[in-house]
Amino acid sequence: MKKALALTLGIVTSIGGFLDMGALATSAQAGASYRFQLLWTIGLATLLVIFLVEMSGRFAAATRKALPDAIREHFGFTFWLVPFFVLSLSHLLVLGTEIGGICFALHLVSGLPTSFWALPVGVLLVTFLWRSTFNTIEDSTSLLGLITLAFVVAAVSHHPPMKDLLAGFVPTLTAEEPLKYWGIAVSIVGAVLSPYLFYFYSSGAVEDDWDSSFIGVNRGIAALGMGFGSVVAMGALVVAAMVLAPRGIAMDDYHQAALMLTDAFPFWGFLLFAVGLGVACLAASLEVALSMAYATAQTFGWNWGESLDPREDARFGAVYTGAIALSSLIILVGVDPLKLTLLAMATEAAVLPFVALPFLILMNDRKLLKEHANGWISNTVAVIVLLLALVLTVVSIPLALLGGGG
Amino acid sequence: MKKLDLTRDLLDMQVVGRDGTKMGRVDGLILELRGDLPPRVDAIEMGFAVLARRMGPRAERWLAKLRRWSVRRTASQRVPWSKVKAIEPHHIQIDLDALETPAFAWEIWLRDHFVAPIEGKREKSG
Amino acid sequence: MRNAFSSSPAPSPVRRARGGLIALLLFLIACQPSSPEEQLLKTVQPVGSWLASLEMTGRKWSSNSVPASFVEAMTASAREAIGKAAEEAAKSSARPGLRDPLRALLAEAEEAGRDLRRAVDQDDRAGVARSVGRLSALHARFEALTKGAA
Repeated sequence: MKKALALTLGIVTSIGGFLDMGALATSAQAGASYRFQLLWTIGLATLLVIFLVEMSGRFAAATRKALPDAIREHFGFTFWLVPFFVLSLSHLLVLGTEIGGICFALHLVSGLPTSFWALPVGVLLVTFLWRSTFNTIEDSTSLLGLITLAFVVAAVSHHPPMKDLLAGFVPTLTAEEPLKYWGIAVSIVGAVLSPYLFYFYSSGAVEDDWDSSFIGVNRGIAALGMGFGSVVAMGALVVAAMVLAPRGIAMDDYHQAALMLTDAFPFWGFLLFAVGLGVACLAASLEVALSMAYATAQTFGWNWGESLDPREDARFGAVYTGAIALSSLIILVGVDPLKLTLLAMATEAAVLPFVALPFLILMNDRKLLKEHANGWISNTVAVIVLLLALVLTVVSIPLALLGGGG
Repeated sequence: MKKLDLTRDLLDMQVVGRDGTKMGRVDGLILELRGDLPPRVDAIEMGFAVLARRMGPRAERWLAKLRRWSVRRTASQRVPWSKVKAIEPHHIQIDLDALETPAFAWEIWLRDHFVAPIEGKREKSG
Repeated sequence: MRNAFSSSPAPSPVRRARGGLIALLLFLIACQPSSPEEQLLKTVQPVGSWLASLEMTGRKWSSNSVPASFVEAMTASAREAIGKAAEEAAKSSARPGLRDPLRALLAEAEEAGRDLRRAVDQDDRAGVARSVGRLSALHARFEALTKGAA
């Protein structure tokens, strides 16, 4: 009974938490510029992330250790230093993106500039983390995130041409302006295969006290949670394809995305977009900030745990506070949220091999995982992820600079 | 005689204090050279300075410069081998109270200067 | 094993990868548009999207789908983007037959954006409808100019 509840909650929170600034921006861009042609990218990236998240959860359940903890212990500090450094860099950029998303949503609703909201939002985030427990944060924000299902409802209500839509799941390798096409494709992969996601997931499993009896539940959450969650991103892509593309509106600025839901919901559409974006980014920013704190505290062996009183793990608290402060600063000085998003997504794609490699090696450690180590299916996916990640590292930043320039 | 693989089973392990609190990690080891006899583990070392030394002399100098600005002058900490109570598969148990050690100096400083005042204000007004 | 990571020199696969990256960058740079006409068209390309965005924004305001503050923000972003394109277009060495009509269109676009903003500020529904019509016409002209020249 308890497992059934954990499974249901895990799936629901994964659906509500799937969309974030990165996934929304890249999906909307894809739909606006290429209609349904890039649906296959979301599908492929989701398939890979299901496997990675399953492995991450299985690892934590079988060893009762989180990833950064286990990697430092197993590989040593000198080896872990480079992945830890690039992971932290990626964390900060993504955190800035998500905070920017909350601020932009508040700007839409209030009319006040995005940068104005940076400080209040930063304070709100730190307060929330300070005073809440892990489960309160995870569950409440992700459940609120279900409002993003509005994108799916809107997509369906537009009656997209099924033939074109299904054709979008078949990879098209040539397109108009190939640099832009592949730039968006890469940024979608970066947005979905977020390094912070599978690192955070392992720490979350330890916070939730998972043991090896949760491995089945984990499989369900990974497959169904991520799977259904990706439908929300696909919904955003379809809406952009049906609303923005026909009018010739590309996404050079996030304000253009805010119009997305106004065709399907003439009265509520604008507000739904703002609230959906704000809540989705709220959930994501809390997760990224925590992920940064988990990775840092575990690397240096400090006390950690969101459910602990801040008096017991002050250094852990100091890390997420500092990270939020730094990332809020980026928005405060007026960095454009959309440009920051695209940079963050390219960075995520670029750092993927560094952070995935130690993880995937550990998944084959039979001494550590015993019978839960990777089988040939998981390892095949692992090799695919690593090869893809290596290609992405080389092309992602150049593509972001050359392809996205318009 | 039971053998211990120093790099695999000791180095980078989580260090846990007497009361079960996580204190840090085994960042370094001090071996005692005894002439013709095999070297002996004298102490374990913990701290940023130890990690910096592992990364190289430049990192060590850089960290020394940073420390001049730091409020807590926490040096690296040496824990003599006699204080090591148990070597578990995933952590080292030592016979010290976490709070007594420099490892916790930052933790305590942050707690006293940031957490307590804010929590204290909350209790007064709440 | 651990020390091998910190003390070994960069192995040749890394050097090869770096060489490959440089080659890729050079290739991508070489693929950039070369003629001034192509360069101009690329610079002004976002303007079409901005014209369409302003038009949609005006329509949505009229149907009470978006607040006035949003129109303000959208026209501000559009003004910045179109202004930047106009600046670049002024410097362009493309043939006057293409450059001059485009520059004129961009100037009209900036004006239309301003008119829209003013009309919304004054709650002038008729004024907004006029602006929307104008923006729609400008967009059509823009498409004709840029598609014809490409």
